[in-house]
Amino acid sequence: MLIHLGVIRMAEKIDWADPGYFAGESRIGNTVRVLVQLIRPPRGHRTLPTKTGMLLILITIGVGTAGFNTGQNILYLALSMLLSTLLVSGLLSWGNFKGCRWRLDSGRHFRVGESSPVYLLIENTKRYLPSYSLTFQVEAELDERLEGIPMDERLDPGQKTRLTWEYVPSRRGKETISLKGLVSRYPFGFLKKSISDSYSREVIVWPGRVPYEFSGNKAGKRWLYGHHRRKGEGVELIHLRDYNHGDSLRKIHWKATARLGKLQVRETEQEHHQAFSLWIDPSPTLWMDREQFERMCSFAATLAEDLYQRDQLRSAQVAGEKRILVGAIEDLYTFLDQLGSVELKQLDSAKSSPRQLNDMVRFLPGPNGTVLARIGEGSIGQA
Amino acid sequence: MELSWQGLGRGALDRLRDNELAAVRWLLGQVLVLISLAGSYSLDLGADLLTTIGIGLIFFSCLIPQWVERIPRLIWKIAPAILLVLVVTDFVLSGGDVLPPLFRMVLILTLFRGLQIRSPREDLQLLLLSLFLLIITGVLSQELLFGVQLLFYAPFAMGQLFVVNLSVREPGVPLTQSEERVFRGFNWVELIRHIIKRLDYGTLISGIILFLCMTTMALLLFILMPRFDIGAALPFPRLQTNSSLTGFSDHVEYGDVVSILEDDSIAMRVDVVADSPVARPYWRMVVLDAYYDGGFMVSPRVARDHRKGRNYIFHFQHEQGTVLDDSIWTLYIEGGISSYLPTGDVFRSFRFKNRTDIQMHDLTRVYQTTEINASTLSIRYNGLRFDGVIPFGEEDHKLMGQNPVYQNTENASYLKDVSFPGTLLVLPEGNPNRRVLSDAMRRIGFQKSMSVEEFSDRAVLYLQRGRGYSLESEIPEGDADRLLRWVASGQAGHCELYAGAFVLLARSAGIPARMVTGFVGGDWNGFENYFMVRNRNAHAWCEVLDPKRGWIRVDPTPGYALDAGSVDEALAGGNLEFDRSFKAYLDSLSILWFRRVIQFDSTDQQEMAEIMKGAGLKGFDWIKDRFQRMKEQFKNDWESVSLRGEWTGMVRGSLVPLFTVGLIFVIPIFLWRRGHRRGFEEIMRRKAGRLLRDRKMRGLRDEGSITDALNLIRYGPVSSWPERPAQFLAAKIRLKEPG
Repeated sequence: MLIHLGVIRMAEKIDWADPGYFAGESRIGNTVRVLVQLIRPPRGHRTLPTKTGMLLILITIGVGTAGFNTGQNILYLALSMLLSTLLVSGLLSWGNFKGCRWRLDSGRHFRVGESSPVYLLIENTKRYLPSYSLTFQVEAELDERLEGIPMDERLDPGQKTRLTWEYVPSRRGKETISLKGLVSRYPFGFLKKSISDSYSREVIVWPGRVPYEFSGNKAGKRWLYGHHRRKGEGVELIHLRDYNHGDSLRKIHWKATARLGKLQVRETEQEHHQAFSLWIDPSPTLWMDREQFERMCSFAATLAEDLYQRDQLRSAQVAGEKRILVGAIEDLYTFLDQLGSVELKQLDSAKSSPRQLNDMVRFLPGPNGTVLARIGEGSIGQA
Repeated sequence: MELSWQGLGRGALDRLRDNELAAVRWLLGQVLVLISLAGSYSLDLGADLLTTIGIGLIFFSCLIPQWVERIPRLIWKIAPAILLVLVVTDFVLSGGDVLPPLFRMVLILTLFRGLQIRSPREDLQLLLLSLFLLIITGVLSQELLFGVQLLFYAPFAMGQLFVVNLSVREPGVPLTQSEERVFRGFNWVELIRHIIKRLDYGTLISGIILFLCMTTMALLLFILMPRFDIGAALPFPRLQTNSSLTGFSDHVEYGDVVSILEDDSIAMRVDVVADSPVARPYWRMVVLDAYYDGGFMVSPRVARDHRKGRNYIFHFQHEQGTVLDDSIWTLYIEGGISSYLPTGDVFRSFRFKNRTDIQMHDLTRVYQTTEINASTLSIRYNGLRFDGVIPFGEEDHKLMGQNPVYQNTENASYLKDVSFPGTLLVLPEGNPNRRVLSDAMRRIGFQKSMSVEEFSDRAVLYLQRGRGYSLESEIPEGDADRLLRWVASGQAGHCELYAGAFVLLARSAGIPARMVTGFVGGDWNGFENYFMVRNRNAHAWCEVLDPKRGWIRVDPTPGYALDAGSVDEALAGGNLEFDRSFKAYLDSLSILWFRRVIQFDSTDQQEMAEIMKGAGLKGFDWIKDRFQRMKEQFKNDWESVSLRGEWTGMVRGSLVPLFTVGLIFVIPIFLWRRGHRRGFEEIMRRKAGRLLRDRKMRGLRDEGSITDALNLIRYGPVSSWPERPAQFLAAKIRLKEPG
């Protein structure tokens, strides 16, 4: 069952893209299509001469003109060779793309200032011929970055390879990483053949980490053993529940899983004494300075992560969104996703007013572009 | 950074490194230079020494590239300035003759680039220069060598471009430091071993197939490209030379023709399209009318009085009654032979490949180009005839009834007093000469009533009696003219002596006579059926004026009197050498080159089109005929079945052939489908993928069985697929609904 679920997720997650030469089922239809496409390339397919190619075309025109004007068969012969070189170049260029398929894959998390790999998986499904010199153009739209990732190695028939783009985001937000196209100057560098592609993946870039001060001991509600049974990283079992994606494998209760026929995980009691709830208010009246707002997002993200590491994060909420009770790591990721995409927004007073909790950490603008973290009226941190 | 060449053979690397690619590029560049330089020897442009030095240096640089790398950069920086000075000086000293210094300039630039350690960009420059050099030599020489060069050049150039393209990942990126130090510690053996190890044989084989396809494509383009009328073509620079073979100039001295008789090289190739071509054609080149100091020359008036023409085709009028067939004789005359064109006795027209300046000496029916071609000249005669009779000239009637004119022929000044056609009767004066001539006349049995033919036969017999053929004759000392002393001596001699002596004897009998030089016969190439006329086929003979018929060819040299008949007869009788040696085979490639490439024009295109059309119609008729016969057979068989219930004929005549044809078609299809099973799987998987996406996009309710089946086809092993996956998927597409 697990395997089956995995298959479905894979099908939904991603699929291969290819030049579309053989999109149909009929071989005759495919052949006809390919022949037509050689004359009239499909949308997105472009073949342009390079500088060397332009030079070759000029030489060909020169030799051709001389040949036609003088009737010299030697020149006709040279012209024929030059023309056939151009034609062969075009055919080889086409053949280089044929049978190739690729897909874009990326890591789970993107964070400002930290390297996050973007993968390009390429497969050569041809039977006999390798592919060479493919350059993939990948764009990060929010960052306005367009980079070419060359495939330096020869890709033998039936082989796969993975190219990595070490992408370091510079802005938080909803980022679209798209494969804009493929370019190849194969085989002779006369023609630059490109296939545009709209293959893209949306990711949320979390705010980057910032240095901060935080005195957690000064505040925060104390939770004591026996008084309240709260989920956490302790050893005392509260109950069992169904497995959710992202749960640690260590938490799986194998005996119960075997008995019930589906994955079960343990939920244990929290052992810590102190916990905090974070409250983010994106109101533009509060954050007049955009830079300060960005700093607040980074501060909140860093703090949330560190508190989670110490098991001191009880909940987190962005005004206007649902409050997230942080139990599993996925809850933290959800909050970080919200932080990644939060924008300055004026909300009505009901939504912008937090539930008054004793351990609620609020973020407010401080002097000189700093951001303060407060519980009640007392300041407990600064970034 | 310095890259190491050590340990490449141990397979530590997965691909050719940058310095290895640079070495391969460099080696390919050297090969391209060598190929393009090879053609330089076929041109007489004073660059042979430079070419030899260049080839030596390129070879040397290939063997020890480390040494080239050690040449200080300063030298490469200074060299262009020095070369510029050299090139400019060369242009200035050439005195307006642009072609030779231009060629040398390209040669120098190619060598300069060829000897450098190059960046990818400079490799492309070298490619361009070598291509330019190749085309220049090809156009100027028009030799078969160009075709061979092109055949080798193309794959190496493709390889070079391929490697350059692999080397340049980002266009415009300059040469990296590592590539500048390519050859430190370099070892060809290690590199070759590593290349072989990394060589992708699939690419290599497909590269070879592609090259063959490219060559075929080039040939098709060459054949199909429209050709225009040569008359509209612009003149193309043609290489000229000052040197010609002795014996074919307007002044033939004693021994000039003999001097080339031991030269076995090809002088011209003659392609014949005729019903029954003569086996021993006499190619008239120079007609020498004036006797002078033991030799013959073209008299000043004949040399002076000529028509000039500039065209690619020249037509000639003949007297009524002259019968000319439709034979076509195409001559490919090697460069440097002569400015005089070899012609037959009579012809309708001749044409060149391009517009050509010629001089037409109507007095002697001799034609010459204004310059001596340094490269092969092709000329095509229409209606050419070799029956030994040349029509009367405009002024020949003045010679009728004239007596010999005795002049002091030791000095050319007599030509101030005697001009053409009078020169055709001039004899050396003085008693010793007269005595020799009168003695010869007596021995010949000359009588005034004799016809020209009778006299000729007797004179030839007299000259050949007791003599033989020898290239070395010792002419005794004496008072008489040298040629007459030879006549009196009775010694053996060669064609010049025989022809010269006969001319003097004929003139002594009052018959106008002249000496002709040219080529006779040749060897018959057994591979492509054409004459290979060599320099040793150079010959001298005579023409005497018959008042009734015109100028009659007389060949007094022993061994030449016999009529060899037609080519077929001569080959059968052994009178024409049938050459099937390896050298002849190589030479036949040249004629193919000239026939199929150099001479290819719109007429050939039309002929090819006609042939194709004919073959197509023939094929269509054949199919139509077979179909008709099958139809009739079936009709008869059917009647047998329906009327008499006899199935044997039907089965044998129709069903068995149909079944056989069906099998012939079905088995390959079956094998093909089996072979393409993988392709089928791929298609099914893609189709299932599209259906899955479609379902998701349309938000269709997930029904486990459909999705499971689609997922199985998309990702699962083939063994787990549902029965008839194609039909299953087709049904889902048609319905557009699950279930």
